[in-house]
This record gives sequence, structure tokens and C-alpha cells, in this order.
Amino acid sequence: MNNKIIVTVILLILGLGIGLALDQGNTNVRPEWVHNVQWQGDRPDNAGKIEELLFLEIAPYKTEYELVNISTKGDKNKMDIKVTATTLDLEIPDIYDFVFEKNDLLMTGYLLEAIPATYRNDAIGIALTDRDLATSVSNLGAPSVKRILPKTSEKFYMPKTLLSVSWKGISALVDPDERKVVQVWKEGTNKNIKQ
Amino acid sequence: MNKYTGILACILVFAMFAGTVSSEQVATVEKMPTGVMPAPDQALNFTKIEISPQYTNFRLMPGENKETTVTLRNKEKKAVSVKPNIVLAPYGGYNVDPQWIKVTPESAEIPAGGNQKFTVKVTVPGDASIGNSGVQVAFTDETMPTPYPSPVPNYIHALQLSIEVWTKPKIQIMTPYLNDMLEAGKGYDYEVKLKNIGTEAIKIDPKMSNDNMFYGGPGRAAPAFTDDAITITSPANVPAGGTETVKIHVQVPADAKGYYNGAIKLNIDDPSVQEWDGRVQLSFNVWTQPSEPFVKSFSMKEVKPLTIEISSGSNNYGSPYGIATGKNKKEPSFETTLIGPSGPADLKVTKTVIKGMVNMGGQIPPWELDSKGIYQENGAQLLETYETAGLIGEWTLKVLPNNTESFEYSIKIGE
Repeated sequence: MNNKIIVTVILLILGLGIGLALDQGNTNVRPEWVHNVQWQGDRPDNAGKIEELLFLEIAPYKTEYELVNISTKGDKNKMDIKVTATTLDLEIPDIYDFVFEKNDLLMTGYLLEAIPATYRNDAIGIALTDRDLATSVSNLGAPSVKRILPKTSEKFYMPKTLLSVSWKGISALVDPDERKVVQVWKEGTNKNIKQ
Repeated sequence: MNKYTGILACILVFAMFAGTVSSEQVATVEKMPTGVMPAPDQALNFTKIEISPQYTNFRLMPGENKETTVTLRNKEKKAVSVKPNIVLAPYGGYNVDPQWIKVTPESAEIPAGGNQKFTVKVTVPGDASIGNSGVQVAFTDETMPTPYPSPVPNYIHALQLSIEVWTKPKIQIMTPYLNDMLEAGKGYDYEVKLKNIGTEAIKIDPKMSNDNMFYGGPGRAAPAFTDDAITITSPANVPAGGTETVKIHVQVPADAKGYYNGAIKLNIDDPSVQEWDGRVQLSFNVWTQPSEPFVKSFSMKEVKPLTIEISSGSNNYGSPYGIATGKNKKEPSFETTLIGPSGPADLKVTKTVIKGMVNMGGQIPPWELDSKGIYQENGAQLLETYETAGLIGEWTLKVLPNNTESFEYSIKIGE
């Protein structure tokens, strides 16, 4: 009788330990720069796996994500995933599109405009150091500033995070670390002007 | 017989004469100086050597070095001798000394159809001055004919090498760009912080840039105000390891309208800051909020319902606040009144529509192609519909728009 109680207690302790360890594992998946995650609609069975893969692919720029909103379309074997990540101070979110298939996550598109005002203005300032561009955009108002991920940047410069500063019909690709314009694009020219 | 012989002799002499003239004409063409017009077939006579890459770019700090490999492929059916020679590129700048560039091997004989690799190593001395230069690593002395004498020949078998010598600026400009909506008649204060990460104090002398007139230039609207509306207050230097603030006051003239684009040249006494970089770019849009309403009069000949529709400008370019977000964002609104034959009408908003323009790509920069297919809202439009009972007589519609640079109205009489 006593033996049975001891075995039961050991099993309970083991179960509790494993449970806590698994729970700890799940919370570790979520990086410090994500404060909240929200799934739109039903949370799929493999949500943990998807989150684990997602947080290897997405990251905020010089800020933290207050809310990462995940919506899915499709079944658990193949689904389209849209991630809309918002920060506390910025109105414009970062948007990522993914396809999840065979336990693999593929980023199919992104639009990343959640850039703190200081860095946004800094990028515009760097873009305007290009004299020709500064002259061309003088009456075009405020530009958009978008983050360009290394996988895209490597086609135009090198695999690192760059910022695209765009007015209507004209855009500068800016390297914020080197503080220089690496390429300029003008609508209708069908070519980029290498710096 | 003699008669025929004479005719024949004449024909022969004429033919010889004509032949001489003809050959002289050919000779004249051949003697044309090559500098006047390049002969098309001359280009075909160049030695067929393929160079890969033909262009490369080095960005080095003083004291640094970097090397690259260039491959020459001999496309001729005979061996070709090549000997690299460093020469300045036409229009290439002059801060690079050809002595900084070493090419190995110093010469080579490339067999027919063969390849030869050369290593190009650039070593920038520690005391080099910053700037950009172009040089040519010419592997043969064959040059491109030019229609006029050129002080620096353009070599055909050359690697075009662009060298930028740079150093990390000791001064960091924390706010290189100021962009704001201003109201006519008001004053605005801005601060630009400069941080000195060096070990010595650096002099500064901020002034309005002389290039500012360039922004108003031919074919462009005159700026909203002139540089003298801007006052700069600045310390004379930024101490080592310290941060100083340049204060900028913009006093917008009461009659100002439109855009002001210009720059403040900080005149930073740090050679690592290139002239065009040591600036604060200014971009201001002077918005005049009307104080009096727009007035439209109309008359009604029958008793019918009246529907008034007012809508704001439809895109960012029509809105004075553009894509402003956060605290700077201001939504458009309308103060609308309608006065009829028996006084102000009881005008009620019966419908409010918020209409947006969303695009998913179109003509966008190639590095933004990954955003194609993702909705991007380019601007929202506010539409308000008012209804009232219309009586016979004269009517006046008054619309005072807020936070929109344009609006549309429609007056519908009847159902």
C-alpha cells in the first residue's frame, strides 16, 4: 500500500516536472521583443510550432512588438499566414505573409513600415544627401520609409537590413549603418542608378 | 584608223584621269585624322580580349587594403601580350595615387583562347585624404577613338576601378531631416543635436545653404518663404565626447503659402564629413487654414428635397497632412451651413462615408517588390451627406473645410 502511494507521488512529481518543463519551453519560444500574441479565429493544433518558426523570421526594427496578430487561411497541412505586428508608439504596422506547408514556413511577402520616427527621419535625411534625388523630390511631400530585409537587399547591394525611402515615382535605397544611399530608382527608367 | 585610235586614246586618258581622281578621293578618306571621326571598321580591329569584371568599387578607410581578381580571356586565334598600367579614369577625381594600386602578375602572354587572372590590390595610406576617384587598370594601350583630343585616354581593355576613401565622421547629426506642416504667421522651434564621438572639440558654423535657391529653380513654384525666415542659433564647437544643440527658429510670414525645401549647411570642421552630408535638410509645407467659408449660391424653382454632399481631397497629395501619423495626424472635417429663403435650414448629416484608396503594388521600386499583393492604403476620403427640405427661392451653401487642401461639393435638387 505504502509502495503504491510512493510510486503515485513519484509519478505525480515527474508529471508535474515534465509539464512545467514543457510550459517553460513554450514561453522560451516567444522572444523578449514580443509582448502579446493573438491568433485570429481558432488557434490551430500546431500553433506552437508555427510561432516557433515565425519568431525566427520576424523581428521589429529598433523597437518592440506590442502585439503580433496572426491570422490563417487553409488547413493545418497547408495554410496562408498573415502576421500584422504593431508597436506601442507607431500607427503603421509591419505586415508579413507566409505559407506554412510540411512543417516549413516560407515568407512570401512583407511590408514593414513600423520604423520609429527618429530612424525614419534619419533615413530620409540620408536619402536627401543624394543631390539629384533631393532636387527631384523637393515638392513631393513626405515620403514612405519601408524596411527591406537582407534576402531582398542582397539583390541590390548586400544581405543586410536597408531602408527604402520613396516618394511618388522615385525611391532611394539607404544603408542606415554606413549612412549612404546605395541605389536610386526612378519610375519609367526601368533601371536603378548604382551609387 | 587614226580617228578611232585618237578616240580610244582620249577615252584611255580620261579613264586614267578619272581613276587618279577616284584614287585620290579614297586616299583623302584614309588620310582623315582619326581624331575627327572614328571609322566604324576601326573598332572591329581591336584585339578581342574579354575582361571580367569590367567595373569594381572599393570603399576603404585610410590604412586599409583590399584586393580583387580580374580575369582576361583571349578571344583571338593568336597569343596576346598584356601589361597592366594604372591610369586615372576620365572625369574620375584626383585624390587617389596610382601608386596605391598593385597588379600581379606585372605582365602576361595569354595563349589563343586562353585565360589569365590578375590580382588588383589597393592599399590606401594612413594619411590619404577622403573622396572618390576613378582609375583604369589598362591591360593594353589600345584606346577608344574620341571625336576630340582627350587628356585621359579611354582604354578598351581596362578594369574601371572606383575608389572611395572614407572615414567614420566624428560628428553625428542626430536629426538630419526636418519635415513639418506649418501655419502662416506662426513661429516654430526645432533642435538639431550634434554628438562628437571624437577626442577633440570640433568647430561648427551652421549657415543657410547657398544651394537653397536651386530648389526654387526654373520650372518650379517659388518657395513658400525665403531663407531669412529661418534663424539659427548655434555654439561655435562641439566638445570631445559631448553633445550640442543647434536651435532653428522658423518664423513663417503671414502671407506664406506652398512648400519650402532647403538645407542648413553645418560647416563641420571635420574632413570626414563630406560637404553634402554635413547638412540638415528642411522640408516644410505651409498650410493656410481658411477662416471664411466657401460660398455657393443657387436658386430653387420648385419645392423639393435638397441633398448636399461634401467630400475631402481623395489622396495623400491632396491632404496637407499627407501620410502623417500619431500626434501630427489631423482628420478632415467640414463646417457646413445652408441658408434658404426663410433663414438657416435645419441641415442634418444623414450619411457619412469614409472612402479609401488601396493599392497592391503598381510601379514600385524593385526593392519593394516583396510588398506586392499586400494592401497599402494611400489615403482616405471623407464624404458627408446632408438633407433638408427645399423651398422655392434663393439659397446659399457655406462650407468651411478643415485639414484638407481640396474638397468637392454637390447640390442635388429632388429625389
